[in-house]
Amino acid sequence: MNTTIPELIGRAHVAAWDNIEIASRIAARNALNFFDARKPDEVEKYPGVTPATEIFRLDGLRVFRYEGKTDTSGKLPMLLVPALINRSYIMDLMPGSSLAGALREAGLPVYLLDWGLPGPQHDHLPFSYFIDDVISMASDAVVRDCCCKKATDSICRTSGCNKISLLGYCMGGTMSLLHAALHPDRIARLSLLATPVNFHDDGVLSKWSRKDVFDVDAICDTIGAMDPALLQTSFQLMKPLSQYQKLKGLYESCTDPKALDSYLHLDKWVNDNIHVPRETYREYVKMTYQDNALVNNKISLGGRAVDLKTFTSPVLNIMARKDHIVPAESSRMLSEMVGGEVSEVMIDAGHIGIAMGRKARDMFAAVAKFHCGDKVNSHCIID
Amino acid sequence: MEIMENFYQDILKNARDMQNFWENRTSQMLDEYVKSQTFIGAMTKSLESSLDARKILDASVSRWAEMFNIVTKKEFDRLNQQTYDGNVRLQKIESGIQEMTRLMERQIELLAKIAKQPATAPAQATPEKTVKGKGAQGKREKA
Repeated sequence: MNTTIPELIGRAHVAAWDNIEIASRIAARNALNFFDARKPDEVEKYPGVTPATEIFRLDGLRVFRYEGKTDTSGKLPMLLVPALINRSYIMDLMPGSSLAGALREAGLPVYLLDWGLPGPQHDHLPFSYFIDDVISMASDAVVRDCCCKKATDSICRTSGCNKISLLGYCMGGTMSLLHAALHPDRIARLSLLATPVNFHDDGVLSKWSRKDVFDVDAICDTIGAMDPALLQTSFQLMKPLSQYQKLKGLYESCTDPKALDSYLHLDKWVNDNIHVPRETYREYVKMTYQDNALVNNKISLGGRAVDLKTFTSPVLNIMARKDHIVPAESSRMLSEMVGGEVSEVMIDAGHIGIAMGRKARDMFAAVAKFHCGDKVNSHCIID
Repeated sequence: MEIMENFYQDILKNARDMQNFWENRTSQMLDEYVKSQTFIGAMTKSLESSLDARKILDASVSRWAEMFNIVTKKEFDRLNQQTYDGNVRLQKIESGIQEMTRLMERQIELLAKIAKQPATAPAQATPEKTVKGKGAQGKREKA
């Protein structure tokens, strides 16, 4: 309050130099976007590799149905929920290592919830809107598409035509879990991939976003929506040498076309980030990283208290041993928090490798088995 | 010649090993550093400074915009948000209507199935009113 103008100018001067790299990146990207802007009515083509049909659209939000030759009758529809901070096509990034493609080949009717590219029109929306309203809208669209057009299907007769399975990845997993706790009668099975549950762990993000060092209100009130350049810089800083090691790996494997293809696909996804709406970001950081509300059982969404114990259906919790963003210990606590039986699968991969790549392929079979109604052995470690 | 080649191969291997060793060592040190309080403090300070700078800029630009009656992006954003909320409400109404339509269609389907089923005679309730051999259908015709 007692800051003088010279002091403010001094701090502004320091800030300008400290943040010149981030500022230049944001400016360069904005300039490129300005010249390369899409027309407002232009719909982005689905960027994944498995053929998909759009079945629902609201603003930028879309739900896709994956097409395949395998018969899906008699199976519960499954909705994939990606993280709100990344693009959704990580679930279907490359032929041969696509989670969506593998599940569709296993005979499951698979759908993808694509959050789209959030803009300023979404900044006022609370976190509960995405967890409750958006996933409900997508579920309704899936039920309408999958069950109701096949009125003779056994699923329609047995489940009353309103149940689906959910699979959430990372932040999408946390959102799926909360949605399942809000609507336990609508979710038959839940799979979670690298999903943070305990946010006060030994992870770097947990340390950086503590209440005393990270003023989320100041950020949201000043810059509005969370800029992807800021998020991306933070993720890169978590492992400062990762960029160098990535390039070294590229140099060493440049004679292998498969490795090169994989690198290019992954690099495109990693650098294709989206804005996080202002109020959603504020609420998410406060609820999870600062208050650890899931573990403390103090979750409140849109004024409604949420109890994870109300969800009693089976859960498959898949963790990655080398995950530096969501340490395995952060997910493991889930078994004590939900009311249903939890099967755990640990994979020897990192945070992204859990959703695509060679090491994840065995896990795809486990997920398909689980969603077909079979039991998956707990604590099964896939190396 | 072969001895020399082996010698060079050994040198290359050792150089690569040393490179890997120092890379891992540096990586570990940096990983520990980003978790340290010093790093977190420096990052916080830098973030606060940049937010202050942004606030100063925002305040001055807003004042100029107000002075010259310029419509700002913030005002357009508010309009966009209201339009979006309206769209969501419409979408919910549409979903509700679709659900009602679906339920009515199911109901009509079931009624049609019931109507097609061969009716059975009620078990000795009012035998005098039942037309023999025609069942409920016959009863309805009689009525």
